[in-house]
Parts: sequence; structure tokens; C-alpha cells
Amino acid sequence: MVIALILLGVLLSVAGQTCLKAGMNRMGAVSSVVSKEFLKLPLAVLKQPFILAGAPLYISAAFVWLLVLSKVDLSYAYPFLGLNYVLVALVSGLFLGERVDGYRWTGVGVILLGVIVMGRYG
Amino acid sequence: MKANKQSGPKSHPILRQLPIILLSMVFGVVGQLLLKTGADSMGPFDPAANGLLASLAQMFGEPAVVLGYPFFIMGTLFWLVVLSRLDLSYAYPFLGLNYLLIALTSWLILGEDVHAGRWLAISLIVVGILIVGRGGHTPAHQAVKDE
Repeated sequence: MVIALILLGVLLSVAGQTCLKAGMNRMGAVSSVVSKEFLKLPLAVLKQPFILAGAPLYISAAFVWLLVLSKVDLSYAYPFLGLNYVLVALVSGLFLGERVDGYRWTGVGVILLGVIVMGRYG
Repeated sequence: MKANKQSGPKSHPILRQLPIILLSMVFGVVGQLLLKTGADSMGPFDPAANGLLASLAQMFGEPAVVLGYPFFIMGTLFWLVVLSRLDLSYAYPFLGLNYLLIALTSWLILGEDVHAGRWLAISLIVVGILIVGRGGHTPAHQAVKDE
């Protein structure tokens, strides 16, 4: 049961990131963080449907995670967070048209290992 | 000057974007810490029993909470800037640096004992991030143009 909740949290978080990225792809690269463009960013992103969809997904992911932590030990729940990295790579390739090359998959694999070690021995 | 020469469409923009990624993470972590501090000193929070308005007043009467939200929002805005410039599958793994930041601050600032298992895990995560960065970056839209 808790596993289902953990997976729900992971999925919400990955869906949120994917929506945020899809929204920013439509806006184009922000040139500088010391510019009018950046000052207008909070209003500009509110006009992007993907970002408006992404933000609540992201926030619900945080709520689900708090719910998970209220039920199980952090060290039990932690390794599942490694799934985020794998799913983000998968979804970026499938839905965002990104070229996820061997470096990215290898790197994600090593990070996954690190998150698992963190849960077990951290 | 010679370092500016690019070989092909692949580049390693992470060194240029790393400051904003770190800025985003630091704002996010400070925001979290402030919200946590505020939530701890706020006392029982129960909108169902006390009513929504009273609960909102309770929340925004807490300076740490009031300060925490802007930090949190700034962190998100910086992350959106990162996303506007880099592939998600390239940028996302760098969020693993959070583990390093948290271990360093708990060790250096809070004086906590971070044991070997955690340093091993963090080393693996950092190696993974370096591998992703080593692969370089061709933005998806640019890749389409190049082919």
C-alpha cells in the first residue's frame, strides 16, 4: 500500500518536471537572470498551460511524499527516489524528443546506485 | 580565446549553467528549512477544526513561513530558467547535488556526524552527475535542425 503511494509520488514528480520543461520549451531560453525578462518570468509562466499544469503536480508530489514519510522510515522510502532519475530520462526521450545518449543512461544508473546506497547505508 | 572554439554542435554548457542550478538548489533548501522552522514553532495546524481563515492567519503570522515562501518561489524560478536552456534529461541529474549540499551543511554548519556510508553514496551520485555532464549537451530542438 505504501509502495503504491511512493510510486504515485514519484510519478507526480516526474509528470510535474516534464510539464515544466514542456512549458519552458514553448517559452524559449531565458537569456539572463539579471534582465527584465527574468523579472517578468513569474507573470509570463502563468500564461503557459503546461506550467500551470506542472506546478500543482509538483506540489502534490511533495504532499504525497510527506504522507509517505509519516507512514514509513525515511531509509525505506529513500531508495525509491532513485526512480525519479530513471523515469525522467525515459520520459525526456519519449515525450520531449531529447536524445538520451549512453552518457546520460550510464550517469543515471550510477546515481540510482548512489541513492540506493544512501537508503541502505546512509 | 582558444577555449571558445566549439567542436561541432555538442557543447558542455553545464559550467555556465551550474551557478544558476546551485542558486536554484540553495534557494530551495533555505526555503524548505524556513518553512520547517516555521511549521515547528507554529503549534498545531488544523484548518478542519479552526477554519481556513484562522489557519491562514496562523500560518502567515509566522515570520519564518512568510520568509520561506519567497525563497521557495525564487528557487523554482531559477530552475525554470535552467529548464529553458538545457535538456531535462541533462539538467535533472544535477539535482542529485542536493545530497552533497545537505551533507556538507549538516557536517560543516550543524556539526553533525556524516558517516562513511553516506559519503560513499554521495560519491556515487557525484560520479554519475559527472558522467552525464561528460556526455555534453545538444538541445533537442537544435538536434532536429542539425540532422
